[in-house]
Formats: sequence, C-alpha cells, structure tokens
Amino acid sequence: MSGQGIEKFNTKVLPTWCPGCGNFGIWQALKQALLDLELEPHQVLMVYDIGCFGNGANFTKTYAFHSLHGRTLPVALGAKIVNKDLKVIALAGDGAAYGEGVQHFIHTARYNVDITFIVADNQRFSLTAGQASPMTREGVVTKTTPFGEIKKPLNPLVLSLEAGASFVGRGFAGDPAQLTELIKQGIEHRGFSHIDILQPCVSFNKENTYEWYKNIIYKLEEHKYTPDNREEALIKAKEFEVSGKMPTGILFKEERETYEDKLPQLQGEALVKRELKGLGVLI
Amino acid sequence: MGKREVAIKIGGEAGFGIKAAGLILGKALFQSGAEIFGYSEYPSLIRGGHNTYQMNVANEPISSTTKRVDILIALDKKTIEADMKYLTDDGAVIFDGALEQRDKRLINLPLMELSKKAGGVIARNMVALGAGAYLVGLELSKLEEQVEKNFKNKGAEVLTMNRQAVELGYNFLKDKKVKKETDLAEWSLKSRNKSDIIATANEATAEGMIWAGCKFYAAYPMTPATSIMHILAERQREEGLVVHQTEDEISAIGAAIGASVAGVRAATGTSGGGFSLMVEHLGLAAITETPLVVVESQRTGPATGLPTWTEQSDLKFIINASHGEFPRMVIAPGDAKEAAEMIQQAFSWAEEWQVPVIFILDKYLSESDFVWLDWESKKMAVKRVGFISDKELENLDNYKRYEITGSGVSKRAVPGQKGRVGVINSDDHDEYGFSTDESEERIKMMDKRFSKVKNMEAELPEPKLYGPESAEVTIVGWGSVKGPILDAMQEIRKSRNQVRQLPDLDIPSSGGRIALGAKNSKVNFLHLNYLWPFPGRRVKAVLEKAKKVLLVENNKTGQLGDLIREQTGIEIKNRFLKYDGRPFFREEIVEKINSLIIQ
Ligand SMILES: Cc1ncc(C[n+]2csc(CCOP(=O)(O)OP(=O)(O)O)c2C)c(N)n1
Ligand code: SF4
Ligand SMILES: [Mg+2]
Repeated sequence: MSGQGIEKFNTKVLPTWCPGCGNFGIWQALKQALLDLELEPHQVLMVYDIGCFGNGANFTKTYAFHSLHGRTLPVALGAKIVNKDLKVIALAGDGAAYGEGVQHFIHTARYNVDITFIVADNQRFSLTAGQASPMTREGVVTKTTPFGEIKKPLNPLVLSLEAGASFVGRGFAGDPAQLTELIKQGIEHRGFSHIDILQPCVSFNKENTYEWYKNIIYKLEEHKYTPDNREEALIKAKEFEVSGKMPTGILFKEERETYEDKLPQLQGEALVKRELKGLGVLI
Repeated sequence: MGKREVAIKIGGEAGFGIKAAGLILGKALFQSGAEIFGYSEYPSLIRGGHNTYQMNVANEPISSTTKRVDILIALDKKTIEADMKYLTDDGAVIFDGALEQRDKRLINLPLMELSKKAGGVIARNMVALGAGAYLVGLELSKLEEQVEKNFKNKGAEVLTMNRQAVELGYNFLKDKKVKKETDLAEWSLKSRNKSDIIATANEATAEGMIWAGCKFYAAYPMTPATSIMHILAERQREEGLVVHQTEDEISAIGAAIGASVAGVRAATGTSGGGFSLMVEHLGLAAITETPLVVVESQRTGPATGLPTWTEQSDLKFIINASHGEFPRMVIAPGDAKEAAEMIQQAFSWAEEWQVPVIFILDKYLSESDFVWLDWESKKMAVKRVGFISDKELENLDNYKRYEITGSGVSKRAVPGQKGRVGVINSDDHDEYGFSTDESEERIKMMDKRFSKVKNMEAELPEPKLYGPESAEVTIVGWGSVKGPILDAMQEIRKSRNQVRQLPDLDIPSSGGRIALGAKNSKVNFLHLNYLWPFPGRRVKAVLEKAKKVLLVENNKTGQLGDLIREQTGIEIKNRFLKYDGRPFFREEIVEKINSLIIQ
C-alpha cells in the first residue's frame, strides 16, 4: 500500500463542495497528514458532523461515523475509550462545534481525551444556506440577521484553552502546507487537540474571503513563539480583538496524562480487543 | 400455618438515616428467614422534610407495600402527624415524648436520652431499630450481626455506638415487658440460603449489566436511575468496564453509541427528563444500526414533576421517541429478579438485531427492596454476535456494512479492522453506507431495517398469564404493577380459601408464585414485560376470552390501554389508574378486584 499517494484516502464519491470552497484545502491537508503519518484508512475513525464540512464522511476513506449535528465528540470519546489503538478524529463546522454542541467541546477539552477535533470555521451555517453562526461577527448581514448580527462572536481558542485542552492550534484552509503540519501534530499529540481552521465559504460568506484572511494572519512559527505557556497562548488567542492580527499555527501544547491514562482498567490491551479477539475480530 | 405479615414503617427527617436503618432491620429479618419488601418515600431534599421507609415482613413471599402499618417508628413529630392514620387498631407506635391525644398504642421510648448514652444522638435511629426488633420478636443477636456488617468499616467507635444503641432500644422495651406485636419465633421460618439476597431493581440491573458484559456505561445523574451508575462506578475497576459521567444526557447516549460502534456492549441510563434529551440519538442508533441499551427509570412527570416519586407515564413516549420510523425493543421488568434477567436479554437482543433497546424501570422498582431468591440463577452466558472476522473482511473486497439480508441484519466491521472501510451513516444510505437520497435506495433501507421486526417478534417471550386460564376478572398491567397485583390476588385467594376451608396451595418461589391453573381463584393477571414489538396476538387472545377486564396502571391516561386498543381493537372500560406519585398499595387492588367480583 505504501507508495500510494493521498488518493488512497478517497472513496468513489466525489466531493460535493462548491468550487473554491475552503473545505478542499482542509481535505487535502487532512489526507496528506494521514499519509505522512503512515496511517492506513482502517486505523483511523473519523466522526463527522452534519454540515458542509461533515459531508466529507462520504468522500474520505477511513472508518467514518456520520453523526448528528453538534454531536461528534461524545461518539468519538466513546469509541476512543474502548479502543485506544484507534486514531480518532472528530470533524465539525463552527455552527456545530461552537453552537449546537458547545458543551461537548468544552467538556471533552476538560477531560483531555486523546481525540483530535478539527473545526472548519466559516463563520456561517452553510449547509442550511447561510445563516449566522456563533462565529459571525457583529454587524454582518445574513439571512437570519437581515439588519446585521447584534451578538458578539465566541472566541473558541479561548474556550478550549480555558477548558484545559492540551493542544490548541489555528490553521488556514488557504495554506495546506502549514495546515498539514498542524493536523499531523494534532493527531500525534496525546490528549485533546483542538484545531480551528479559518475556512472561506465562497457561497455564503462574502466578508471573510481568502484575501481577507491573508491580510490579517501571520504564522506563529515564524515569530519565535514557543507554544508552551497557557497564559501566553490566551494572549495570542485574543490578538485579533486587540490588534486585528490573527496568529496561525500551534498556540499551546502540553504533555499531560489523558483521560484514558487515568483509568487503570484501560491499561494493557485495548478494551474492545479483549472482548472481540475470541471472535477473530481485531487480532 | 396461615399467612403472617407485619408492616413496619420508620419515619423522620432526611438525614436521619431512615432507609439505611430500615434496611439493616430488613436484612436481619430476612436472614432470620422472613420474606420482606421495603418501600421508601422521600422528598427531593437532603435535610428536613418527611422521609419514610416501610418494610412489610411476612412468612410468605411478598412484593408490595401496604397502606396499613402495624409498627410505626416515629423519629419525629411529623411522622406522627402524617402516618398515625395508617396504624392498625392493635398496632404500636414508638415515639420519644407524649402524644397530644392519649393513645394506648403509644410506646414512649426516650430516643434522645438512650442515644446520648450510646454515644450520640446520631444513633437515635438505631435505638429505635432495637425497639422495633423487640416488637417483632427478632433475636437481638440477629440484629447485631447486621449492625456489625454495616458498620465494621466505619471504625470501632462507630460500631460500638451503634451496637449499644440497638441494645439499649431493645432492652428498654424488654425490661418494661412491653407486649410484642408478633413473635418471629412462632412463624416457623426456614433458614436462609446464602444465594438469597435483598436487592432493588437498580442493583439487579447493574448486576445483570455486568453479567451481560457491558463494558461502557455513560450517564448523567438523575433519580431514580442514578444508583445504577453508583454501583457500576464502584465496580468498574474489578469488572474491567468504564463508567463515564458526562456533561449531559445527550453526551451520555452519544458516547454509548460510540463505544458500541467500536465494538463493546454499551449502555446509558436516566429518567424521563434525561431520556427526553436523548431521543435524537435514539434515531441515530437506529439508522446506523448500532446496538444500544438505554435504561429509563420513570418518575412523576412532566418536567421536574414529583422528582422522587413513581409513575408509569413514559410508555407511549418511549415507544414513539425520536422522529422518523424505526424498529426498537421495549422491555419492562416487574421486579428485581426480572430486571437482572431481562437486562441481559436487552443486551443480547440489541446486539442480535442491531437496534436500540429501551429498558423501563420506575422509582418503585429502582428503589424498593425485593427478595431475590437464588440470585445467580438467572445469569446467562455472554455470546457476542454479528461481527465479521478479520479474515473474512480482508478477503472480501465488497464488504457492505448495510448489506440486504433475509433477516435484515448485516455483519458489523469495527473500526480498526483491516479491509474495506465503510461509512456508518446517520444519513440514509446505500448498502456500503454512502449517503443517498434515491427513492429506491431509501425504500430498500427502510424495508431492510423493518424486516427485522417479524424475527424480533418471534423471539420475544409472550406475556405471562398468572392465575387460572379463565377467571371472573382478568387484570392487565405492565412492569412494576406486578408485585401489588400478585400479592392482592394471593390475598383474595387466601380469604376465599379460608371460607371454603381449602388447603393452602403449594407456593413456589417469589416471582411466579401463583401457579398457572390454580383452580380456586376468580382472578387472573396478564402481565406484559415485553412491550415492543407489541405482543398483540397474545393479548388479543387472552382478552377476547376474558369476562371482566381490569386495566391497572400507574398513570393518568391508561397508556397500555391505549396501546391495546390501537393494536388489538379491544377497549378496556374498567381502568384503575393512579398518578399521585405513589405505587399501588395492596389493599387498593384487593378492594378494586372485590368491587368487580361483587358487581
Ligand atoms: C438538531 C439539528 N438542528 C439543525 C439541523 C440543521 N443543520 C444542519 S447543518 C447546520 C449548520 C451547519 O453549520 P456548521 O456546523 O457551521 O457547518 P457548515 O455547513 O458551515 O460546514 C444546521 C443548523 C440539524 N441537522 N440538526
Ligand atoms: S456553501 Fe460554503 S462551506 Fe458549503 S460547500 Fe459551498 S463554499 Fe463550502
Ligand atoms: Mg459553518
């Protein structure tokens, strides 16, 4: 199998995203990261949300669970706990991650389960055709905010940092090279990794375009930033509100015992293997 | 000898250790060979309020509580105010102080003084317990054994205090030569088998889950389901399972689905409020064909209702919960032993049919103390089914997770297995799992899922008919009404026997205690444990032959009655419904049956 390119992670179903959608860049980076990490499709469980980004369930060849809107993390957690050998990645849009299922986001970060949470943040509910999301900025006109959004957006990086995530990063769909690296590190990190990805939606977000992002982002790794301090990371996470600049890359990373590490009954062979190997399953 | 029974009720504020004390006495009586049934009432608060624990003690199997009380142990004045009205004329009340009205039934016991002597007022419940033991003629040593068991891990000081407290209470009445209510020594009780225990249905359910090989239990605390989580949490390390307390019930059911998808037996548990939050995920389990067990221990609704009281009001909700249409199973045990047995069936059927199974309890079952004879006898062997082996999967380049098969069930590959990976999809899908909205594919998948139903129906045991094949009155009920109804039938039969001078029938162990075909009974009882798929054929056959039918349900609208009408066309006119948060007391059912027989 090795020697094959990233297309080994393609199914027969072609993406249904709009041409120019930021999800393509994320998809490329994700597959490249799996390839670089020498992971085979069967070693990975991706739990997808409902939304444009979540539709990737059909296009990406790994074990896939297409969940409910806002509900990727509980499913991912359950699977990871009983099979710690799986690489478990949850994928959701900003509406799902920071709206419908925000409690799971905060708490799974707190539990520090070894899951990678990838959020395609397009500041909209896109699959439902362009309503405001918890990330939509004040004043922005959408179908549900015809007179401009009047609520403040959330800062998800602050949330995950405060909640206790052990890996927090931000990527940009228009920079697959950096994003690949970020996703690789996130997957390799033991503990809850939160990666928020700035994702242009060409159909329903005319404000936050590739150009718009390019003008405000800069890469942390090019600024001698060491992501080992939660307080520093919080300052970086709030930088856009302060100075209009948005850092990308790893904001914070720490080695910490995972939820699974702290359960003595999970030490040794993965729980599910003890259960099923007698049936010739997962030997 | 005839039936002997005494009802002991202990009442006091929350925090007085009412139930804990009651259960110590209950266990001592049980170990002496008596049958017991323990029932508790309490408001939703931690201190104050009015808490009671009633223990019915008999020389024959019982599984219901009575309104009638023979011995009232009042740890506070409120108990006198609330419960004196239930005391029988020749009963006794233990109270520290004088009563406003002179009452020959009063036994003045200086609880405060004696407990201080024992080491602290905290032990006043134990002083009262000692007195209670004396009144039923329980040997002091039997009670002390249980006190020892209960407090041995709490340090020598605590143990000594509590032992002294029961002794002081016991001896105070003994020295005064107070007349006993009954004397256990004259009950000719048999000695206890080690394998007979006392358990709530929650304890039995937790045990059954462990037997069934449940390896992941995710939940959010909600009375009266919570103690299942407590028990499993306590035992998780030794049993190699994981108990995960989630941020909410939505997460709990999601996590259980994730664990099940990954290949272990998994469950969640809650009460009606939490179940309301779970319903979207019920459909997720259904469309992804993920085996799942959900325990729903009902309490009085809607919303917060009476949070610590019982009701059977979620039946129709559970059968219909979640949008869309899909097959499911609904099982409702009627006592602790059935709970242990049926929860194992729930796991094995969930896995066999790859459907969600909802297991219904209620506060009455979850928190009442049942005698559970030969407790390990219902342990079933665990047989995991429905998986595709690594070898098969690797040699198959055409694996379809949702393959159309005759039975409607297709083999599961679990994440991590090498081979053709697929989508486990909440969108409706083709056989591989890919989302599709083609008309033919949709029909194919719906029909596939529903094709399981006929096989599920064939496997479900039929509702049990207790009592004779034909009777003057046929009672119909489900789940927790079993105990009160069977006990009421027994009582009616006994009183008829006495009139006709018939010998006592041979009484088998608790549960199926009224032998099928008992000839001299005018009442029989159709009890439904397996409610969905609905056993319409059997219900119809029984009810069509029945003379007078009486529906007994712990709810306002007669939900089982509605279901029966929907599924069989039979309308039940006599409905005995109760929705005040209390279970059926035995007398109420006796009275109701008698009124129908006389009519
Ligand atoms: C419980 C529930 N509520 C609402 C929806 C409808 N819905 C589907 S996707 C979506 C929003 C998607 O937004 P986001 O999560 O940001 O994903 P995107 O489409 O932008 O990638 C909504 C509201 C649903 N499927 N389920
Ligand atoms: S609507 Fe937006 S997010 Fe959805 S596919 Fe099109 S561009 Fe992408
Ligand atoms: Mg979005």
